[in-house]
Amino acid sequence: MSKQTHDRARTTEETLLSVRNLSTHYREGEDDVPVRAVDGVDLEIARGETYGLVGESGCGKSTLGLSLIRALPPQGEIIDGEIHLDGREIGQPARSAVKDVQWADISMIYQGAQNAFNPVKTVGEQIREPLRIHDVVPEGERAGHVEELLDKVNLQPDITDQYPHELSGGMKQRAAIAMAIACEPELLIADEPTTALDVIVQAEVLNMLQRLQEELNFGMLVISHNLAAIMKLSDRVGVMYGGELVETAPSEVLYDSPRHPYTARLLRSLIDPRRPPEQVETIEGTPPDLRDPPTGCRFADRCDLATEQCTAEAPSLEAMSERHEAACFHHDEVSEL
Amino acid sequence: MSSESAVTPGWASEEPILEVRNLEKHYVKSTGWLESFFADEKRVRAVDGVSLSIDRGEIFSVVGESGCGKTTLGKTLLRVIEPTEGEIRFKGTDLSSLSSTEMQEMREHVQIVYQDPFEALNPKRTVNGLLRQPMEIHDITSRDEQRERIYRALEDVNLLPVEDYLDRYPEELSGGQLQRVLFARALVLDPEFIVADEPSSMLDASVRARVLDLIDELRNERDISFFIITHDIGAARYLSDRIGVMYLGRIVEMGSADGIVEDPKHPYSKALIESIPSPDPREPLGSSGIGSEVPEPVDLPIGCRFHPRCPAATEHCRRADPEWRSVPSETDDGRMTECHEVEPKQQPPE
Repeated sequence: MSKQTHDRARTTEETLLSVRNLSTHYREGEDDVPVRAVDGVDLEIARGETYGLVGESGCGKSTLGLSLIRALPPQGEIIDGEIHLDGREIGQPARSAVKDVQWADISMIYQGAQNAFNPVKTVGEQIREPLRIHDVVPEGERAGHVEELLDKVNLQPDITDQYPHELSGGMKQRAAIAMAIACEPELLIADEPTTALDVIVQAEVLNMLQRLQEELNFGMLVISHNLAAIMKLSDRVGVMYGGELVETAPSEVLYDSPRHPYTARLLRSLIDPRRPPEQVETIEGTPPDLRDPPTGCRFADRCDLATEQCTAEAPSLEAMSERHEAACFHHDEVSEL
Repeated sequence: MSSESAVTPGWASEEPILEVRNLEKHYVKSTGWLESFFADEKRVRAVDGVSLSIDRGEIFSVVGESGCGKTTLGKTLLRVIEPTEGEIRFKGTDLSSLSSTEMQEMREHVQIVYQDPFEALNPKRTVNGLLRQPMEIHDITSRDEQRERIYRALEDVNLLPVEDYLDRYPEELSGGQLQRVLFARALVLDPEFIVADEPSSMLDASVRARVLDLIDELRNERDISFFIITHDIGAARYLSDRIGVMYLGRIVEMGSADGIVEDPKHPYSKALIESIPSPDPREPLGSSGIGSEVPEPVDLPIGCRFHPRCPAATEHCRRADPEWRSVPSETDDGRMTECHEVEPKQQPPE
């Protein structure tokens, strides 16, 4: 399905994932000041839609993904908000119920998935695991199903008997994708699916995700700091900064007319090798300390447009145009940056 | 940067700082001891006959897929890994003839900056301690001298004010700051040549440019020559004077940074550049068209080593090794490549 057909699909189909006011904090000990990794985020993804989430390391994008699939480390906790998948509340079940959601409804290609395989189990055993947990395929048919899955990701059936170390990084990444789609989830989360892969494998993985989505029509949340790749793959893109969503728009709109200064600066830090800029920009300064985020706009101390208002009050997301929202008091001046 | 240097190629005017001839690094692939009685040992040709020369003040990047041998090449250049064969001349001195003590002394002038700052820096040492360590190894023991070199290095990598960084531990620094500490650690020895392995690929886009600009500044201000190993072709073009494209142990194409990206000649270089996504969401996702499985350089095919993946391969490519030769290019950048299907440069008429 091309991006154009995605657009049509979205207007006719219902919301798949709805996240309201999600806050996830990390706390080392009882008395520690929590790190507000995700701080009041709203997000919606339609069936068959790809939503890209970008931002610098530490902005909360991976934590958001882990919150959705309830795979947070022990220090992490969802402290507020609602998560609905296909109309069902999935944010609040007790931890014992997590397994019902993982793989079957939501699955995730974890960051560094190439290295996440168990080294002492064969690849086939590991891909069969979600099928076994959810019993979606009768035991006798599982081996055949695994072969079909491998075929979908262009892997030969004989790798089922191999161990992870016998596979190249690209092959492991594809095996991780096969595992993630094994139970035909409604939502696939891919956390940095191309990081640490070189350009040829990167292109292959991106093309594969796009093709699988056309075939299986799952909603997809792609999390990455690789803005160029994300804008390519996604229908809409959300930009996170300091635990908050600061701008969201269809990819083309975001690329052409960003309305948050942080997005604008991020776009100008990209290097298109075919059209190299004279000078590539950096964003000076460092992201805020999320133990004690500033009261005003969290980007203010790195922003050229910041005024007194920006340090005094926090801007909230406002509609710029249809499907385009940005949280900046100076969104009209961003084009002049 | 690269465009300026293409106009005035400062690197072409002087004698090379580093010259390599037919460099080879082979490993014996481990097989079971029983098997080793019956079969010939398998040799992995990680670097398989590389010749290149880098001029003083030049930034040279080598690009290619993981497993193409670029990191092994970088390490072999400085004898961090001993070459199997070939000659390495640093300012005229044959490095392979040096004893290990002499090579140790030589390391003051030639430094390597590793890829992952989180792994390369001892977490228990402060920045000050991390920077002092290489000087102690090289007998620079005067406290004043050490202090002076540490200050100058931290100033050059823009960790300012210096006092704010001296007592910090790696975990208190961001990825970009750590990357700069790694460079400062090389700089305290005042090197003339630095091999940098993926200096920017672990970093967020927002700070990546700062590290690239830093390398350019060090070249301009300290006259350091760089050999950069990267899979980030955007960074390679932005930063370098020339790019070498490496495939299965060999440099298969070499030319100006602009020339290689704008007008690649070798089918492998073309595939590599085709697969880079442009940020414009309207343009389709790129695809290499050559699959992603890099064969292991053990049983190299007869003929061109790229032919099993090459969309342009002919019968001839399956039989004969291509020759390394000059080929014409749009920018006339002294392009060299090894491919039967690229017409060689016509010799000017007598």
